[in-house]
Amino acid sequence: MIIRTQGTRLQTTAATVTGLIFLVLLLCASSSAQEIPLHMELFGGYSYMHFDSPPLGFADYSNLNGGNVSLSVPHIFRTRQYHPLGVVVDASANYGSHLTVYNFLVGPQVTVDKKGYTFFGRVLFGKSREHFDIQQVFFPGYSSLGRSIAVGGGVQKNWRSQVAVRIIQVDYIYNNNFSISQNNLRVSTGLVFQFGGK
Amino acid sequence: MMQKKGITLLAVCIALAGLPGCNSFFSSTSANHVAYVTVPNEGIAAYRIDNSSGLPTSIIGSPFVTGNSPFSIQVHPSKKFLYVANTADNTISLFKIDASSGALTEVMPRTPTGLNPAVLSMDSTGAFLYASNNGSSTISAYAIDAGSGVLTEIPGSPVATSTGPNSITVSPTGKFLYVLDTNLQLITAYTITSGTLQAVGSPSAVGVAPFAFAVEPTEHFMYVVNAGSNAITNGNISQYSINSTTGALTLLPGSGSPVGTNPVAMLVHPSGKYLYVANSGTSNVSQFTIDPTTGVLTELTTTTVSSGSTPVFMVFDPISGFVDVGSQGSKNITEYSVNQNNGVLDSGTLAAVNTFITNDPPTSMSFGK
Repeated sequence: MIIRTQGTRLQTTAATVTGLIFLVLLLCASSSAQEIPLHMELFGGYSYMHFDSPPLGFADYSNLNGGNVSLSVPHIFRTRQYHPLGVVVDASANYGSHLTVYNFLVGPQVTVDKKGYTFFGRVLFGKSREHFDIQQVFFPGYSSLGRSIAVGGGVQKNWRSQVAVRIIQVDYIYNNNFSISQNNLRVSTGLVFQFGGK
Repeated sequence: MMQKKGITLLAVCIALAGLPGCNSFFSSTSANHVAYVTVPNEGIAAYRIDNSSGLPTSIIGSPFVTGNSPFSIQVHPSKKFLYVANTADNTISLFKIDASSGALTEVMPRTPTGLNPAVLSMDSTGAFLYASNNGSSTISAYAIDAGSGVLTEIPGSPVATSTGPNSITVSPTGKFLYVLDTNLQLITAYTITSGTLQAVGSPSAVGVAPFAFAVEPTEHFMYVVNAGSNAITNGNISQYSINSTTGALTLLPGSGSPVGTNPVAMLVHPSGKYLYVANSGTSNVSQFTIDPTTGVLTELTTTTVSSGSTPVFMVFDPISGFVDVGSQGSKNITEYSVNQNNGVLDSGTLAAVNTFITNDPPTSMSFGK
């Protein structure tokens, strides 16, 4: 179903994402009294999306460019013993000819440090909003809010004391906007700013 | 221990991401094109059609809003524009076609026509567009701007014609325009000079209740299907030769090939070898071969193939090579492949490939890239 007014649903999504972020921070705060100080990573960079537009009637896949940001806590269990489980909140916006795709995702992430490199993998859940901007006489285009599920991972290397370079991050993202299943591939790269202890 | 678990989980994530992602990344879509169907209560239904299977995918935004009672549709040969006759509004809508998605954007304002424009016909170069105005018994003629698609009415337009011009067609070379009048059972020929119409002599009398006609690609022959005096008698096909200079018609002997009841649509295959007639009464399609020298029709061994309920139009899909039949009773489009094995008994026979629902009775169809 094509949804042409999305104000209410966007508000719901924003509230959901905000709630999840709050939950992540709460988890971190609850363990702040333990032995290792909180460590957080803020990633920002370029994002390319190979967008599955044929199910929407396009002749071929669409190449979308844009940006990707994420906030992660790589190790939520901050005991002295190393634990790979963390959480991440991820948002991206990708643009192309007549298409804009937003993804708002949150979920668990595993992180492994090896020989100066940090490898991570995650499974994320959230919402996506797609807008198709073919102008019509009586309305500005078509938008839809849908479910989003992502599975992905990547690798980054420490560059400076508080900065790392995310060499590559690859996510398979399933969206169901317009009640149509879409299988998208997102590739991102950029800088990671690190806060707190490690 | 934790490190090993982390590595295992990481490997699982990357594998899960890679499998479907890589499949999507490295695969490409199969060859396809777009089809536009007028459905009077909705507008234009737009589909992405797989060239091989004929399977449709609805294009985002479809159906696209038109004026009231869109009846006839024509895609410009450049595939950049599309025109629709809004029968109840006395206008023609111009749409721009988005090359990547196939979606339509209407360009306002709409172009005025005479009363109740029904059928649109365009020359093969896309220079001129003609509309038959059923209510005012006129033909409107327009020049098409190649860059913008905008229509400009040609001086002298509209041209008066016989009462109730039910159907019009521009001949394949673009030299002539023919107007079929079902009520008066006449065909009027016009020469086309820089888009301007000039009547050729007197109209030609045709059979009883002629509902459709077609000119074969070499422009030597015209075929007219006559429904006959009532709904239960079989129709027949009249055959005419075309004067290549004036466009005048001459009835040929041996005319009268039988078809089903209520034949309302006709199509000559672009190869010029086959002719098909949609019989709305018997819900099937009659099939003939065309003699290239004499133009004489011969029924195929399989004389008819089934269609949807109440077929009303037939169009050739130039990209897939399918013959498409629109049926108003069953509200669907049936795509047929054409057996073109020369020398084989069933050469020219249609075989249904796919049928898709249009939600509303379809009235016409045209194709983009």
